[in-house]
Amino acid sequence: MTAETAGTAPRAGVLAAAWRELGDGVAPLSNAAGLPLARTTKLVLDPLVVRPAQRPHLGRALLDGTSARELRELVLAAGDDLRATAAWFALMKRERRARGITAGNPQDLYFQRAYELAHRHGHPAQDAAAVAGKEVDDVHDADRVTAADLRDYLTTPAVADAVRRTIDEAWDHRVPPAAAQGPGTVSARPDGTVGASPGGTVGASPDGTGAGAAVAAAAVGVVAGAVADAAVVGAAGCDGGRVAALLDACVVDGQAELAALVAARDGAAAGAALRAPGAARAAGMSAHDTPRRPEVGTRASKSALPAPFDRSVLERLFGAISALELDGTAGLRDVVTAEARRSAEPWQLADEAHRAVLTAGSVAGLLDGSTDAARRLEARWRREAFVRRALRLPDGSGPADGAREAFLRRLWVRLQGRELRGAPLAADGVWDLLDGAMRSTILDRRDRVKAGLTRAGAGPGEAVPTGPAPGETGLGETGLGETTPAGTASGDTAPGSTAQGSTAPGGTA
Amino acid sequence: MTAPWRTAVFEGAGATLWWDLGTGEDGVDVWDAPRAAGWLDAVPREMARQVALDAWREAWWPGSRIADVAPLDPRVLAARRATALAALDGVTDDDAAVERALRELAAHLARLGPLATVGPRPTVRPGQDTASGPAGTSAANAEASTEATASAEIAALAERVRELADDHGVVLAAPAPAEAPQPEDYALAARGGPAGGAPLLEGSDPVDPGAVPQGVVDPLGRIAWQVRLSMTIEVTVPAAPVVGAPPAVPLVAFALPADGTPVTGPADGASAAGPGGHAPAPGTGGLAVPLRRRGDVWRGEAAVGPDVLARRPRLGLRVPGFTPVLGVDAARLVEIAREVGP
Repeated sequence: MTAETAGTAPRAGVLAAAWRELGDGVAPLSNAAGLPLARTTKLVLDPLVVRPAQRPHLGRALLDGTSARELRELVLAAGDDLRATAAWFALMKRERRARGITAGNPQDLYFQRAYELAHRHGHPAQDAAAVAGKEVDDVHDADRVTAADLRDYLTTPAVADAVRRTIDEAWDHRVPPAAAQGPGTVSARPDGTVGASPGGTVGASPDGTGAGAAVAAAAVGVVAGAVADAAVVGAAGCDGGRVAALLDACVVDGQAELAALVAARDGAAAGAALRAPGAARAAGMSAHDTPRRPEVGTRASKSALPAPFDRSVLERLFGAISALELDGTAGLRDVVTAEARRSAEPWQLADEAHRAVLTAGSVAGLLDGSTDAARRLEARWRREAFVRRALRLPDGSGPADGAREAFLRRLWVRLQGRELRGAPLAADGVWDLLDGAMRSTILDRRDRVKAGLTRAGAGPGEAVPTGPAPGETGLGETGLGETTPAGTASGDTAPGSTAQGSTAPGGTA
Repeated sequence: MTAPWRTAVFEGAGATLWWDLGTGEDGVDVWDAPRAAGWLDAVPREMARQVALDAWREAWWPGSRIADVAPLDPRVLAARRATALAALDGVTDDDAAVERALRELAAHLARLGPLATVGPRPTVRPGQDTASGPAGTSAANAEASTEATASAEIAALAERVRELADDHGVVLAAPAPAEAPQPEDYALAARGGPAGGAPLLEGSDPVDPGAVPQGVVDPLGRIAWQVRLSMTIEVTVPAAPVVGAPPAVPLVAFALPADGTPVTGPADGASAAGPGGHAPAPGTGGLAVPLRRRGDVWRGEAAVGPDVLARRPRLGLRVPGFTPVLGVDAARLVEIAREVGP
């Protein structure tokens, strides 16, 4: 717990207070207590008004006096824009209703557009209804690339061949694990890191237990082997001290620590280490001993997805494609090509900062109490244990049964989704990502247990989730929503098991 | 915190609020102060309390024929929780809390039919004749105006969640169920007399509501058993009244340890035979009787060894996979329900 010290103010408190100063004009963006909606903060206030990616000092959980004043003034200065945004949003919702549209979450779909309209037109004036209607039509444009379009595209023989070649090319030219390591880690590792050996046999020992655990252990002074756990192999080959530093700092800030990890390419090294036999499987990212090149794919079902590294290009993209608002084949080709190349990268992610976050997640997911982040994630499971009893639900609230792996898979999906959308990693993004992934891992398990209890004909026993839950598919990752429908416990499949009952992408074809 | 079974919990961003419904105490567990600073002082506690109370009702409301507590409609509770959570959007720990509640509601609607067909809200009617009408339509003796008000409330709630679902892109439209939701006959059925002559041994033990999920057994019921000459034990337990089809739960009656220690872990369900089967029961320690729900009674029988006669067994209930919540006081649960209301 970070105590609020003299001269600092919690960012969330400053934002809430400033928001309430904006008055009734922002009611459509506020809850019944007059505070911003979750999506108001995540989709409008943070990325469009505060923009911590550009103003890192405003992204910290605790602000000094100057930053707090600056933040308040930013919000108040945007007051007219925000009130106009609220008015445009209300208009767009009205037009949506008039058109009988029910698809998608209006907040996810319209918030940013309403903000753009506010910028372009100011407050809604005459013709506003028509303008808002046009915007709604544009969001729901039937010509937009859909999951069905994606499938049609990828199953065109010539396209499939070309994508196949792109995958092969990328995989043939994969950076060898040792070379993926940055200059900072190969020679100078003063804190006893276990890194990739120069010969290209990577840090994770063949039995899948040694090196990775040693990284974490060395970083925090725990006796090596005491935390031996196959799940940590993802952290092999990188600098455990830097990872631990990020996990200690990220709740409040962590920008410098993240930058250090990125500069040293620790994420790339840890990701490359997953190519060692058994490592990706131990981390829950693949069912195979060694990850294989992805298929192009002909079918995808959000309820039967294999582990992330085993997903076809179609399976990697179909959930998020319509939210990308692509207009034609050219855009589709770019997205597909990028995905084919991404699959050959360490962690199968393109952005080094994202790899660093996933690496940090693989260590924090150990819940070994060695870092601030790990302790806080662990505390989530303790709270869940109490809430499960208070809600009279089957316990099963321990982080066992593959929950760590589920957490890592979910984190991967979120990071890949960010890459698809080109979302910048904000200053406060690391902890939000880790905490959010753990939270939805826990809550989706709770949902499934709850659904199992009320479903007639089913026992209350918690299905042991050995594979990706529906919420790990990337659907709904455009905003905040998860997409695990209640009662989809059957959506779990063991990693690598053949997708059964596949439906057409998006159920549209 | 306090005893889980009487605690209503609101999971806020960075802080958990709780209310001990037994003692009236409440508290705040701040686990991320900077995050909680966004709402903790700005949100009226009562708003959070309503969400917490409805979650508690879903879990612990002691629907009981014996105590004359009508069951609550899970559709109404989920709908109320969804609207209350929407009022706290941005305050809950789970950013997708509203969608989650709406999806739960959608599942209930798919099972029980649309909210609009719900009768007036069932009420606790202390001291009333237990042979009154079924839940949901039990207001026959109540004022007609009360009924109309309740119906109007349900209609307003249905309208509100319809808008809410629209606003969150959640599809609530449920296919009309093959049959309208049939609230179980709320009245106690006539007890079937024991067959097969006079019992060698008989007894009854109290139900522990914490040992089973919601909606399974009457929390104030007793586990009645008889050992017959044929060396079989027959067990009956009054079922919990529920709205709609009862959840299918693999309920097992078993012999509690002789020393009276509470069962702390999920009991091993492996020794329980399938429904209707006979589990081998060499001694009372291994006694496990799978029960089946028929109407308002759970019933089952199993073979027993002679040692059951030497040491009188004490029976408890378990559901494989369900970890018992310890220390639940059934009578207090009913008192709390009467205080809290439906």
